[in-house]
Amino acid sequence: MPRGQFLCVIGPSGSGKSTLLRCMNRLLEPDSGRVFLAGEDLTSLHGAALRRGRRRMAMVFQQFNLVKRSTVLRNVLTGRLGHQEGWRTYLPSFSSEDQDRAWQSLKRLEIEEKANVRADSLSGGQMQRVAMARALAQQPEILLADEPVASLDPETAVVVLEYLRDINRTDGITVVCSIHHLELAKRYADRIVAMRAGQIVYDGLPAALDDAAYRRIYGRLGFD
Amino acid sequence: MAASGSTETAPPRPSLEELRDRARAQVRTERTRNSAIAVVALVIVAFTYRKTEFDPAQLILHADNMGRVFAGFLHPDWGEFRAVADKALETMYIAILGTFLGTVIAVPLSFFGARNLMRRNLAGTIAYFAVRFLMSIVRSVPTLFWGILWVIVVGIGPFAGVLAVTTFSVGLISKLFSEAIEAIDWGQVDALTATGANPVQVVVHGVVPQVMPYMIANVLYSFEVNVHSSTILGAIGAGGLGLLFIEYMGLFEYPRMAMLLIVVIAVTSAIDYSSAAIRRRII
Repeated sequence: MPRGQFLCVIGPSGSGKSTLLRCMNRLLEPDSGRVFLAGEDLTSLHGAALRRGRRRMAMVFQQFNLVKRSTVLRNVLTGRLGHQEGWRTYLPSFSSEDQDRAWQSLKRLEIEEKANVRADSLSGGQMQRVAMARALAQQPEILLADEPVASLDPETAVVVLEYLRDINRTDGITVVCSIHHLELAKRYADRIVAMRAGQIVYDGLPAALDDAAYRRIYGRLGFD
Repeated sequence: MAASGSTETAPPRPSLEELRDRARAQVRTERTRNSAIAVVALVIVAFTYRKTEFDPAQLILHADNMGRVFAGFLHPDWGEFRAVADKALETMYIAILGTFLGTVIAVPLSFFGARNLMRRNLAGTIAYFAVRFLMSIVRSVPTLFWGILWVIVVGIGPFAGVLAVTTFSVGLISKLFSEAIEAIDWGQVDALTATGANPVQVVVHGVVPQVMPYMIANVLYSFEVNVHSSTILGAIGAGGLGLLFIEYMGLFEYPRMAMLLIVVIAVTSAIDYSSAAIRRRII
């Protein structure tokens, strides 16, 4: 997969989209196969080297997975954890560089006014923006987005995807985004990979995804 | 799911009559099972009735004893209130210090006793079972027995009481804390793991914020339990109110026992009430 691409992974529930993304940053261990990031085999890494590998891939989740009882600012600061070194990893505080970086990310996602409120007081769309700010603070090469809009209403979903596209285009961060909604995938993706029962059944341009391909992915055409 | 275009052939659907028969049969089985459980429970109760020499007739036979005790309670003797209040304070001090020390020791142990954090590799699993085993041993010995053991070691006095309360608290608090940690939202842990954080960072930034209010509530609850148990610790010489109570009982001083009990009830219910109020507010 080339650097800077916006890749959408589609497929029915249980087809292995989340598993694929979680194997990429080793939240899950792949049963077989290998994951390479710029020539480095991530599947063979352990301990500190694995953590350095993870730092290069930020992740956002369907359920946002913010630390709900912490403030928005502290949540974004946790994006810096992988960059901390030595004794500082044992302290709950962050360096002023980390603080600056967190505020920049908050500003970038236009959620800086909420910096001092608790994360659980936000709406779903705001939570996902905070999660993206956390991901951005991590300064990753790749952003893994696991169903980032599945818990959001249609308008908020578009807002979140616009931010993802902006992060992709402006910062040159590669995006791998699993998504249910085919229309949204076609609108935002440079390339679409479709999965069914753990296998890749389509890999190509969004425009080339026709009815025949759709039938291969979902086993039928439409919902009626 | 669309019915048309489906490639698998669906099995024939059972008729409504069949389904209703199945539902009725299920209700019958449940009813039989519940009756059997009720019968077993009653047999157990009847057995304990015989084994404990339970005899309501004695309550009437010894009504005069009861009368004497109650008469004392109608006229509590406030003469030695100062001595009782001093000992009540000592009981509180024992409970406060014992709860504090117990918490300090229990906090690190509780992370090792949390299944979700530890059972991810062999070393963690071994540590988990070691801590769990130790905690359950400590907990299964009642505070009063711990008090007797510590009196043997350090002699009579409130220090033995503090040690007894501490020991029991370690078992109780580490169990409550471990369970709080086991109930966390794992998604928040995943999110921090994905940033490249090390396990210590994940615990500091992802686990501690989640469990903090539950930990405070559990410490308060343990304090309530410890006030109750340190009240009786004096009976074996480990400081606090218990010794006076035993003394008054030995001398048949029912009015003084009554005064002491009133103090105990006032103190413990004030603590229970305020602790419960605080716990409600923070969770």
